[in-house]
Amino acid sequence: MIEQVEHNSVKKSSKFVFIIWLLPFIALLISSWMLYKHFDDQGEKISVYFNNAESFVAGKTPLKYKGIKIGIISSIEVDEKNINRFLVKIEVHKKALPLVATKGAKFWKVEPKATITEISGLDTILSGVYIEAMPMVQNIEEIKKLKPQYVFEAVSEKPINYFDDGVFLTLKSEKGTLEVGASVLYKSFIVGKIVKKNLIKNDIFYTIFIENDYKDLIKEDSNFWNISGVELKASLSGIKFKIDTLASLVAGGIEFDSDDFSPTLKDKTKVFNLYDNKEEIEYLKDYVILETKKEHGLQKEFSKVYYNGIEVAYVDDMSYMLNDNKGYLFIKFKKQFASLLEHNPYFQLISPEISLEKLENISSLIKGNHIKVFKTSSKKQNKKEIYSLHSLPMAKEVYTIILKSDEGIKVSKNAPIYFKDIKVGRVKSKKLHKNSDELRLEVEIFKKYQYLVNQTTNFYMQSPVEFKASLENISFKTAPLSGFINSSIAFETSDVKAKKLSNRFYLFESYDKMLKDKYLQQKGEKFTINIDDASKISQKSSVYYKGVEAGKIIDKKYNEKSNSVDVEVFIFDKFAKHINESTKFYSIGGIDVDFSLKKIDIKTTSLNTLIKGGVSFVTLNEKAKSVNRYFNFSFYDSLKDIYKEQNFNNDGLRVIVKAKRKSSLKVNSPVYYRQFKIGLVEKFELSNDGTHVKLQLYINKKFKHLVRENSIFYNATAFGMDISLFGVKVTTETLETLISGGISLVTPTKYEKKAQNLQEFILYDDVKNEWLEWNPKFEKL
Amino acid sequence: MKYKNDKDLGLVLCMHCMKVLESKQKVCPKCNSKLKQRDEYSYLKTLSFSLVAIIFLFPANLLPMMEVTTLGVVEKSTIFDGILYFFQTKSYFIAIVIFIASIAVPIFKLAVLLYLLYVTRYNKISLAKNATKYYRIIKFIGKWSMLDIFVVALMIVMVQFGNLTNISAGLAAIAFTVVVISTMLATQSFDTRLLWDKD
Repeated sequence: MIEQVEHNSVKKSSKFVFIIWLLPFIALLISSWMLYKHFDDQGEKISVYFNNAESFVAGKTPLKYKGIKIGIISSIEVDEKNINRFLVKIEVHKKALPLVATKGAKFWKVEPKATITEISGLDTILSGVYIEAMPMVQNIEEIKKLKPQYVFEAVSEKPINYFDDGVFLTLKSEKGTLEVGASVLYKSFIVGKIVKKNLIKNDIFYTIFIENDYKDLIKEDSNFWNISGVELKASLSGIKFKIDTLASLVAGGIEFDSDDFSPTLKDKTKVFNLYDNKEEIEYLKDYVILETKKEHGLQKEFSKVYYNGIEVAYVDDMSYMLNDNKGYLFIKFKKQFASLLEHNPYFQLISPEISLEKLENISSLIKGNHIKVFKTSSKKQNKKEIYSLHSLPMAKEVYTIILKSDEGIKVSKNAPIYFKDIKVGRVKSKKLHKNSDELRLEVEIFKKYQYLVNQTTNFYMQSPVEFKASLENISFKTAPLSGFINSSIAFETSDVKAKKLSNRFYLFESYDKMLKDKYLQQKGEKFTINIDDASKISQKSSVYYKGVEAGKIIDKKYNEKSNSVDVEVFIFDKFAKHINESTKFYSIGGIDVDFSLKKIDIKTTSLNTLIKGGVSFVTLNEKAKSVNRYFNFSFYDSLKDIYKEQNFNNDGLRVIVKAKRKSSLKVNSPVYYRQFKIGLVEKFELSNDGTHVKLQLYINKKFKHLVRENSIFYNATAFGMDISLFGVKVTTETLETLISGGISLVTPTKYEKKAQNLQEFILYDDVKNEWLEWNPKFEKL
Repeated sequence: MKYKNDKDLGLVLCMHCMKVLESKQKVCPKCNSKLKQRDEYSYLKTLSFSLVAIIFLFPANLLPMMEVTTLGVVEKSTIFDGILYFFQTKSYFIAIVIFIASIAVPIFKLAVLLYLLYVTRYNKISLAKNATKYYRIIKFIGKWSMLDIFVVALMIVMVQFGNLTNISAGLAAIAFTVVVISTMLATQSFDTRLLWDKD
């Protein structure tokens, strides 16, 4: 029964059963597909050996190709053979496998890197380091041809050809100042960068990458130079300030230029030289070595070498050998001046001395110590390995002379010799002559000035300033400015064509002394004047003849014998012939005032002699006997004295008048006849018995016939005063005699015979009226 | 063991309102639902869903559950990786929770289901009572099996920081979901009354 009530629900539909059974199969399919897909994506493993596996995490650190993840590190093991090597197994995505698992593929670690030139791998700071891979070639077709490879050796850094195609060049340099990543510029435009820097055998080799677009800019003869960021050049003529790209400011950079017409570089393996700066291109690559034993004070990189004032080289480096005591200078020579080296160059060290001479050229002060180079031969000669640096100027061909001096000469070695302020030589040495106190200077006169020195040459010390003021002019004589500090020697040659007799000269201690000597060298004669008091005469006073300078007073000496002063005068030849026994020397100093009642006559000689005083001479008789230099001339105070002496010659008449008093009479008081001067009082003296004064009168030759034996002399000084009822009558000879005194002569109308010489008369004090009426008429004699 | 089942008594149970009716009744007069003395496809469906669950259990555990992308670096982790991760970081509690929810529970459920099928197939009536007890357990824990999926879903929604960090579900999540759903369906399909059928 129970079976009968079988519930209809027990019946099964075969269709439904099929559907239900289908589910596990579908599930199986889906599940299998999921698993297959997953494990299919796992890819294949490759092995890469790293020297540094720092920060690698198995299962986490990815392998990337240009930023795209193509795999992951599956395991890291220490190499069995070398504990410093790590075997990193990388699971590479299947699709990427042909890209990286090929021969020559490169693997490297990417880590955060911050250098001056680049900041890279920043993404790895957070995500961790990763491995980057790159196949050997960039072309897909070529990649396909490569053989597969599964074991690799990692490279330490990003391969340089990581970028697009381009040219790689090698530059050789001595300095490693540039950083990898620094730009390579062409006309300040970035065309590439430094990708590698190696030190090989003391030289730095830079590998630079030039982008493909610019590779044609590199020519066979391209020049590469280092650009430091800031270039500051300061000279007196200006300041040049240049900054290249900002990056190069810090990291430096390389710039190059090429000759447009040069062929494009073909040999990509050519090693170019990297110059330190653009200027250096102009310099020879090899050093010119100078050897020096002296302290030179030159500065590396700053000291220059000049040829004719043009900078031709600079001191790049220097060294010092302690053993040899020698210094070596390494000179960079400009290419264009390289030919100088073939002409036996002479290098001379120039140290600017703080001397006034150098002030002429201020820039040389700025130049500092520098080297001058001279060609010494015009023919080509072989270059030398090492040249020597001289501290003395190139030995010019010189003519050596000896200067003697008795005085201490303040002249140093190398002191210059000037001729008309041109340096024509130098003092070579200074020493005392053997066995004497004579100082001897060996002087070199440059050959080309040799003709200037001859027998008429006078050497003298140049004092800084010679100040000479005279009434004629004021003159300064200065030596060249340098003479202010360093005494120098100068010379003058009066006749360039004169003969050269010896090479010994006297060195005068001053220009003045020389002049004096030079003066004496003129043709002339010396004479001696005997003077009681030489105070009026100074040395160097000129001697005049008719107002023209005829010579000089050279010396004055005290003469013991005569208790007077012997004055030596030098008279030029053409004046000396006027000098004979009758020559009189007289002083022309001062003012000659001729004072009379008629006039005041002030006579002066030239102002010059007025102050300085001077000596003049007259020759009274040209035909007199000539004299030698030892003839003692007497000296007169003035020309008047001479004439006075001349007045009292033997031709006139001398009479003696006896006066009770001398009154106002004196020597030179006039003697009048009819108020006309006919003579003078020559001298006076007191008579032996003291009763009267004897006056000796000199009557001129012309008038001596006026004096007769009965002539009367009276004192013309006195004036008569006649007081009568009609008034007062004052009589006097002349107003002049009233003051200066004088003697009048009257001769009676009936005159007697002529007076004898030295006949004595009486001098009357008063004049009698009758005397004045006498009017003798003399016969012409 | 002597007992009378519904077939013996000619009764039928309404599975919906649990009203016992006479077996001739086709429709429940109370709730108007169809009445069936046994679900004729129960065994088949349970077996089928169990098989599907077992099949998907492999991808669910072998494939990555979650893909964490941190700055472009993708880190895939399977369920077991996650457990290991928490275990290594000494978060034992979480590790245990995930282990129970994601590995232990599904396997336990499947094991129970297979046991139920075995009992039904070979009429091991002596085991029926015990089996019923297990059935109740898996039915109870069935709803908790989606814990793992919830975690993944929650993570995916919450951690969406673009390139910085990004979490996406892996294939295992789908597989695992299928496993959980299949086991639930299998559990649901099983008619416990079959356990007590004597023939």
